[in-house]
Amino acid sequence: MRETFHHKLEEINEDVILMGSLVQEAVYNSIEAFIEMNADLAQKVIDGDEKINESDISIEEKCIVLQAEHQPVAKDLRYLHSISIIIKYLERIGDLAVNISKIVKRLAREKRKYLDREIMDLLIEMGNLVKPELNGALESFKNKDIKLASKLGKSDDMVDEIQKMIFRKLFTSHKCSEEDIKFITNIVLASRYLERIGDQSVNIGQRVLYFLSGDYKVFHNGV
Amino acid sequence: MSGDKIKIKVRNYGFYYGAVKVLSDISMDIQENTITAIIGPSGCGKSTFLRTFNRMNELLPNTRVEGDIIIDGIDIYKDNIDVVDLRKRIGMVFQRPNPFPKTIYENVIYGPRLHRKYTKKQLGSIVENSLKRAALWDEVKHKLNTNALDLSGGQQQRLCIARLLAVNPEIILMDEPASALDPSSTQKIEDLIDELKENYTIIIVTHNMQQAARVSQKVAFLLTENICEPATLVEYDDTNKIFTNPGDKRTEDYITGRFG
Repeated sequence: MRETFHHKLEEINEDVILMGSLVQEAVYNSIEAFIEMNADLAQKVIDGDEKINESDISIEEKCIVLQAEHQPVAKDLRYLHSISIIIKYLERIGDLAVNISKIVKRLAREKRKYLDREIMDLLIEMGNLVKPELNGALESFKNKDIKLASKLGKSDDMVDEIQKMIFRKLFTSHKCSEEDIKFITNIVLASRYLERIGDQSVNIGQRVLYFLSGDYKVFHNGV
Repeated sequence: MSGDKIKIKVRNYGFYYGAVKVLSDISMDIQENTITAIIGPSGCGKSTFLRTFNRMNELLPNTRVEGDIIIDGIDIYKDNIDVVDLRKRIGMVFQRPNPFPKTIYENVIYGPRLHRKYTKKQLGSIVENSLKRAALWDEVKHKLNTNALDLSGGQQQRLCIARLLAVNPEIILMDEPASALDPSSTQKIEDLIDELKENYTIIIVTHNMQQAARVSQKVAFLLTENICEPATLVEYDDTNKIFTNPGDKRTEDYITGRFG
């Protein structure tokens, strides 16, 4: 029975890695769609979300069945419990990529003569900071890498700073017609979603850190 | 009630069957009114260790102990210890219920009567109290004169617990007390063990990891690492710690079923 258990544990591990790569693809595509105002690519992200949601539910179900059947303890318990939480973060990141993609579709529809270059560059920079956080979170899970998991979150302050800069620029450099307000709101939201993707990635890293170390303090101290 | 007072001190304890050393260098403090579970693979000496505390191992020939077992400040392996008195203070429950082939009533009063004389009224209240504390009273109060062997396995085990409670022990040793019982009887025994810790120091040997996790506050993990070597105490810590984040890899491997 223990072999069955470890076999099923391995299966769940593979499922989470696969779900992670789907989410990673969604985030990359949503950022690219934003930069290029590519509504088709945005639609692809929106359509792909169903598969991510299905993975979430199916992994959760496998975790609960495995816990009921085998009553795991110690690292096996920490691992299964952490996976149940990690998949929720992944699912949420998938949703954020969808949110960004919906903004892309809205803005693309209006064919607005686009952002000034400066704001665009800041958003690209934000994306460049957030992507490695997500990659690191997924990589630390995949390789059970405690060092990598503990390094996540280093660019948090930078991301926050860029977000503030975007806000400042948006609210000072535009005349506020109704169109402008709509536009500004969308950009504000997009930057907020990017920032949340970074945060959720760090949360995943914390869970990885917890199941590897068994130290619950990681949640109190932050990483 | 579970407090900081140390009830039992084990110091550098070792045990021999003839020339063979089966337990080596065990040291631990057991707190009063707590439940301590002893876990470990089959044959590692858990039951031998348990029987150390009431000197039951001496009933076998050619056995020898080293180190100290100190209960309430007194080394129980000193020559001047009255073993009968010691075993009155330390009750024991076994894997299979072993009531005497007598009535329920006679089973409970058997112990107290050995130690002194009681009036009929006193015996009646001992029976009622003991059966109540063993959570069996409501099920048997109308049939105290039926044969104990007519009870179900789970009831028989609770009767055995009532029988030992009747002599007011301080420490209760349990050797896989629920392993021969069905899930519902097991649950009743576990609930009972949990209630008993208010007033007794309990040491329980169990093969069931979930049971150890459910009922105990402390866990001691014994392990024989190599054949022909004695078992040692690998880890002794709070139950929550052992089952979520054990400190020793061997404990982790054992409780997660990677060996043993």
